[in-house]
Amino acid sequence: MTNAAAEVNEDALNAVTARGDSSFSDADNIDDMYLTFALANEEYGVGIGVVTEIVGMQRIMSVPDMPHYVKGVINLRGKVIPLMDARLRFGMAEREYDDRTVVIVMDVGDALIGLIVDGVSEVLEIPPSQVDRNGQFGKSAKSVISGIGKVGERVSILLDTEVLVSDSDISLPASMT
Amino acid sequence: MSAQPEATADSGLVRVSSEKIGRLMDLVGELSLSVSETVHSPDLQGLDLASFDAAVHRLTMIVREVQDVATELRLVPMDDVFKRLRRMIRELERQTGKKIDLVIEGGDTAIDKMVADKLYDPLLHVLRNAADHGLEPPEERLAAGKTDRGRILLSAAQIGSEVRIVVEDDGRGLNREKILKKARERKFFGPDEEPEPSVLWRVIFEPGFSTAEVVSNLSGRGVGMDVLNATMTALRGRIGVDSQAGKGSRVSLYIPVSLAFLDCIILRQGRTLFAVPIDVVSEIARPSRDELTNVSADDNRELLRLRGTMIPIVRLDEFFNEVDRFAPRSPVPPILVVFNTAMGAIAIPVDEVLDRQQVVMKPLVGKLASVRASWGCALLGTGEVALVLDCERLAAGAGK
Repeated sequence: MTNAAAEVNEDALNAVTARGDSSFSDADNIDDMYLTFALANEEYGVGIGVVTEIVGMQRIMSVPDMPHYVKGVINLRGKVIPLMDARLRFGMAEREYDDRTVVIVMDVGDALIGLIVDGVSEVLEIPPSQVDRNGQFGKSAKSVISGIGKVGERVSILLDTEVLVSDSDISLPASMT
Repeated sequence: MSAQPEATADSGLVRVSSEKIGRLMDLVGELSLSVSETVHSPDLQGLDLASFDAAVHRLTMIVREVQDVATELRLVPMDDVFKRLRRMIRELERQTGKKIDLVIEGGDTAIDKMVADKLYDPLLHVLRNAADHGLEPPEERLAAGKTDRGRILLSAAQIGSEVRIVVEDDGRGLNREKILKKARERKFFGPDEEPEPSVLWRVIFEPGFSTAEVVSNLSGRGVGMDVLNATMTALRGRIGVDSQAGKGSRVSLYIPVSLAFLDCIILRQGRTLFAVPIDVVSEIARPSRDELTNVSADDNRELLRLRGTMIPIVRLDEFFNEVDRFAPRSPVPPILVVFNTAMGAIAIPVDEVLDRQQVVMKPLVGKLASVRASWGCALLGTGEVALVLDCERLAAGAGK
């Protein structure tokens, strides 16, 4: 189980680091690529363009004056990066970090931020035609959800990273929490 | 013999772009971090390594020296800034019809090029204020028994790890009545409050507090002294103002020589590490119970009695709203670190005083920008991250 998870992680990681390769070099293509990750039994996705790397859980140092969902900062090779717990950000139950817990480091608005998730799944290509952007999730301008991606039977909730890292309150529809 | 070719070489100067020096500074920072990471490696815990320790000592000394040399590369004399200001004074003489003698002292004082570049605008503003509002027209000066030529002193001097820049004029001084009236309108002071001069003068740096309206009717430039305030905050500097009616005013700026490295004391409070620039720490005390007083009438403030003076205690967890200040408190931690600030001394209780270290500063960006009372993050040799406390803002915030 743990092994399989580790392999998936590695695959996702390779896909991320390999995105400079010819297969992903098409800019339009990258816009349709999403890194998907698990939170409880839900699957979420962030555009791969903002992801700079995926690292294992690091030693977190606490910092005052932060919202409760920011757990502190890590020192990643000389860069100080704040970590946001995705579960706490979405008002989900907190869960102890384990060996599957990873940090997705993203570059949003010229600053790095790490998103703590239960585990990364894979990199999916979801063309715009398969992303449902209307419905109840698009109703407010501030929604953290940019759309619902469908690949076969799978459903990925795609996140707007700008809103995710902003200070605004985000409330998920009751059915999703 | 070898002196011969050196003497003929074109004065030994090399032009280097400031980006290259910036890159070098970054690398030196990384180097010093890696060295202390290696030295503090947990793998070495409990090992008896006599010759290793000696080598480490030497290595640390060399790294420190490389740091100093790299910092020096970027130092320029204050004269670079002063010369540009001198031209401006001549311009002002023409505009105002005043006669101004600009006296420059300490032009050879060295300062970080990046700091120097940022200092021009705020200094220009202070100087313009002195010439425009401080100095009187020749007739008024003669009537007041002064010479008809106004004098402005512009001086720089290094004091410890800081550079002090002073702009002093022998003009009419700040107008206490007018400033106080305006400050009361802006609710900085109560209607009956009579603030100390040094406290009162500081309001002229508040955003939107235009000195043009306050001190004279002469034209202002639309920008208040808050330009200066913002720059000084960015440069981790302090401002002092002193003025005597009829005799003149003096504005002093205190700025760290270099921005890259900071000599700090590392403190631990709860689970958070803090770093404090060494020059603001005045002492570390272990008070006994009867040296601590509680004042319920004043927001439940705690005071430390230290050799007859009462020093307000600022608890970091209360400042950062992590605990309610009216909730029953745990006893004051055993160690109190006393900081000197422009608002007077404050005492910060900490669990532990860890170390004195040269730290590399990183700015607080993105999500971290909302942290109050901090200059930035300090990367420690252990790889940990500490928050560099801005004691001035800590003291100002605690007063509320």
